[in-house]
Amino acid sequence: MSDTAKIDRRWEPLVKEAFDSEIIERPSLTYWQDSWRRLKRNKSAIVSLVVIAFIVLSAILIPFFWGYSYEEQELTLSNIPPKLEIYQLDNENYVYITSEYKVIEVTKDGKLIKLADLVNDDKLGKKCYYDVNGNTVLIDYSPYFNAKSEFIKLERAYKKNPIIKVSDYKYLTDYYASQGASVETITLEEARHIMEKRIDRFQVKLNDQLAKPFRKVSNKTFIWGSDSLGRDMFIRVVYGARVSLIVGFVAAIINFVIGVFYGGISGYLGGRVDNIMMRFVDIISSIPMMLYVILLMVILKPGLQSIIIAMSVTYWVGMARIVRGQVLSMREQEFILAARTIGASTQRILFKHLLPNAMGPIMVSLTMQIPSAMFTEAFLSFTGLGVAAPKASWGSLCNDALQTLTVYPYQMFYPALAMSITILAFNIFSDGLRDALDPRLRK
Amino acid sequence: MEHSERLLEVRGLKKYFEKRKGIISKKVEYVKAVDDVSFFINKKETFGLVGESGCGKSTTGRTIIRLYKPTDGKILYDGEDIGKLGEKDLMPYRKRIQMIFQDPYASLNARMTVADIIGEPMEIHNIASGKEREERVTELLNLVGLSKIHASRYPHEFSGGQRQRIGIARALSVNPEFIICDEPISALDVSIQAQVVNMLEDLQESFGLTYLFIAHDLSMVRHISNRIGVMYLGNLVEVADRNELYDNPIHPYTKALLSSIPIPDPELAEKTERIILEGDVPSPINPPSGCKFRTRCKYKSDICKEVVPKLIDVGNKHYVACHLLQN
Amino acid sequence: MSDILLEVNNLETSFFTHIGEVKAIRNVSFNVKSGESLGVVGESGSGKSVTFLSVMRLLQHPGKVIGGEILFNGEDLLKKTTKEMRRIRGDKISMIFQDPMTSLNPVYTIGNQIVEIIQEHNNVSKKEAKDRAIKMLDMVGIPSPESRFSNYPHEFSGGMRQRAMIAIALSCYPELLIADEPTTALDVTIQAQILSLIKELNKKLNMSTVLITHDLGIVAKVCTRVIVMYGGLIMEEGSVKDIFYNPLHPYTMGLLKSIPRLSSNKTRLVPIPGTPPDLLKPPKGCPFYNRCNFAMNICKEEMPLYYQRGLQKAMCWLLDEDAPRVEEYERQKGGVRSGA
Repeated sequence: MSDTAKIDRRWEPLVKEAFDSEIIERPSLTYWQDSWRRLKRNKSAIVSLVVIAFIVLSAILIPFFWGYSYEEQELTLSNIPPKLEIYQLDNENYVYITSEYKVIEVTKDGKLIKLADLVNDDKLGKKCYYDVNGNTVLIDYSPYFNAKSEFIKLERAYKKNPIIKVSDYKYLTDYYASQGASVETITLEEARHIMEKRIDRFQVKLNDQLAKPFRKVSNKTFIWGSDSLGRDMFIRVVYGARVSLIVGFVAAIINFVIGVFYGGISGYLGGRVDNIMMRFVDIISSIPMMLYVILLMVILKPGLQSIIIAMSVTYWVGMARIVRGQVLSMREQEFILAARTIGASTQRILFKHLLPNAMGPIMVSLTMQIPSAMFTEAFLSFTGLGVAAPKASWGSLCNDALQTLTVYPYQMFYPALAMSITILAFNIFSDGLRDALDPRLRK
Repeated sequence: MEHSERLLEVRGLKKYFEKRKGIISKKVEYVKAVDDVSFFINKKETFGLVGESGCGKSTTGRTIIRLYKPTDGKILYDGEDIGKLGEKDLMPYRKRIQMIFQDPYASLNARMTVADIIGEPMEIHNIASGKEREERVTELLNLVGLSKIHASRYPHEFSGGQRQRIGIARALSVNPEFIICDEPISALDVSIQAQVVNMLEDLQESFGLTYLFIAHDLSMVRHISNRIGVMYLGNLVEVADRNELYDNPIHPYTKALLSSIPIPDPELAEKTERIILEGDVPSPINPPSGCKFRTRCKYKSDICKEVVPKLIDVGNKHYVACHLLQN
Repeated sequence: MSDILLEVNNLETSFFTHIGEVKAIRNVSFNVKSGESLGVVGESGSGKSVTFLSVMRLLQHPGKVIGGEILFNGEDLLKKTTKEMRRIRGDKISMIFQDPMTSLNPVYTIGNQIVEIIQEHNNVSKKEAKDRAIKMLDMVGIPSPESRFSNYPHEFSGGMRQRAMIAIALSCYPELLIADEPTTALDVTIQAQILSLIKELNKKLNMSTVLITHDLGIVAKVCTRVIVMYGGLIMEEGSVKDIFYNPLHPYTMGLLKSIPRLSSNKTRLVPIPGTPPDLLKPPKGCPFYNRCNFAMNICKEEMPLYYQRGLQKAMCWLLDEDAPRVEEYERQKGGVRSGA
């Protein structure tokens, strides 16, 4: 016994457990869990999802606690940009001067207080006098005004005699004198450049002292500035997000419901019914969608409801085609035949077997329809067919900003940025979703 | 006496599929998938149906289980013609006749758990519910060599053989008496095929099942069937007991088909002379007139072009449809 | 001494999927001699197709060869550039696939596709290439090749398409033809036509053929030597007669027992129980251990070695001199059972 103390058990038959060879090693995952796992690995899609969630939450929540509403006007504080160049009067008083030569009292950190009292508006002398808590603020916009009128003369003279003598024009003489340079003649472009870029729009004199801007601060009252009626741009963009998202989601959901029903029935019944139903779809889609929507919008009165109705009437055909294609390709698959051999009703086959299996492509096309619906809404609002003032949407905000684009570019920038980011996020996300749900990559 | 044993009798079954040419054109072509087929299946026996792809063997099976409406002919199941019944009247038969499918990856709904898949027929036919159904599912899983732990999993987690067994469990859930096996093993690996075939044999033994076994693998069909029918282009060309058919094939097509079975024995394979058929199977849209096999037949004569041969009893329960027999 | 055309040493290929690394091929070594007809048998997932896709360097993402060497005429194919590989494929090594419909380009005529390959690899005029293409079509048994030359793939039947595929594969007289399940999609009567064509061409052109299949009947008919694969490994290798009449590996034995014999009396089939291993988490030891009727404790823990018996070799612990003989095993197994 001691010789064989180390019994070599290696060569003994293996005792197997029941179902040993039937055990599944892989973790159990449903289709959606599996897709979610795949989606999680796609970083850009996840970032997009976070961005979308952030935008949706902002659009829902921010209006509840924000200090202004989208329609609150403060006409004295119109067209104030998000960045302010302020001047110091004394230790407590600061002012911001608008490009319309209005003086607005502000706090040191950029909160707007009120429009300062205008003492004298000297239209002839091109000067404005304001009184801010006992301090006199003089805004002298004559140098630029004069330079500009001289430049107009200069331009006229230039056509006859293309030599521009510096000594002939006061603003040029003054400019070169301040530079300490002696120049005889210059070109038209140089003259324009000096007028546009070298001469301050206005000069500010505080108690007769020439003042320089104290510093640049962010606008604390209207963080994204105010529009031409003195409304807060930020809340209007947020409100615009609400409108755009409502339109996007509602249109997509209505399209989903109609498209799934229509396409599902058409695909499952097939044959003649399918033929007739699809010809109807062809007729609808043979007229350009946008034309359709615009015509409907003209009949219906502009507004959120009308946009949604107009889009629901036309946009479902894409979804119906997708669902029909899916159902048609699955109809002859064996699991559907199996359901029929056990006596499953049409309803059960459609809702328990066909649609759950077609859900991947449906979800992808749904997320692709949201940005497209948002775009359509923005387009309609931009052309004036969308939501009516004072309601705001990204499209109408852009339209409002169009006239003053060169003076107040921020009024266009923020709604356009919000729209671009949202639509980009939706597009990247739906792209990622398609990859995640694509059964061809499944293994 | 013999007649009373018959569970299924198919008489002159035809299934044509319409094929429209274009949207506007009224011209309709017919794909004659099954063209006048008659046979019967006795209780508790396995009837094998073999043939190449497109010969109509699957369509025959699907028409019998009424996935398709027959164009013509009778499907007598237990004496009643189920060929013309509507979906409502078919419900009792949906319990008695079941089907096992070819592709284990396509025949199970990917969005349902195994328990739901096996439980669904019981739900539809109100056989069992709640705890009782759960127990029945476990019982069925055990029957096909799987266990309770598999019930909550999804089809894609299983291998082909396991999926096919789940399909069998689904078919058994309503206690059927007749199962149509539509190429149940052709998509499986060799080592798994035998598992499934043995399982089908065991189940037949214990539940007294009757099978219609459709396949193109002739050696497996021979193994499992009692009687075999050979189909070519929508027609049944030869029917006989399995040994009779393999030992004494009469129809030229059957002969060629049998000789083209690859024999897994190198020495025997070297010795056996193969009859290699020329050409391909013609299209079922415009099949040849008369005997459909004549375009590939070595022994064709003028009569084959004119007259459709009928199944003739040559004795020993052996039926052949060939004009060679008349000469 | 026949010379070796293709030598594969310690090949390893993995698929890097999102759920982890699937080790499709784990250390596979074999060779193909010139002029021989090698059969590669295995079930789906055994790695038989992946092995030869690796040889052809045709693996798609996420598959990747991670080790070993593939010597073709002494040169390592894994070290070739993509461009050099393109010159070898179709010219020196050709491959035909299971589905002839998806392997042919539906928008070009059959003739065009052959001419393209010929001109790609040979400096010949269009006329010469066309003549050779027609000759090829004739060689693979396509009737009236001149008129068939300008047909599109959809105008061909399944069997004809596979013949056309073979014509394309052979158009540059390759030294090695790899046929991956060439007849699986075809009917038995057509299968017989294609197999005898491959066998005939193998002899006539003296090229090596590799026939990848799951059908032992096809191997018995066409091949001279056989490799049996399972779980990404070569289980057994030997001449056709050795494999069929004297299998060493329990998997080979199981495969042979599970196919029905053409005998008149109805005998029960002997299946291999269970399912193949998931190569995401392959077993530590022999991949076949949990389905094997002769499994021993060692099989679960340690990867078996290759044991040589003449020209035949197999990877199984049962062939070790310490292992019990099969009869003894049965007795011991009975003992364990009664003891437990």
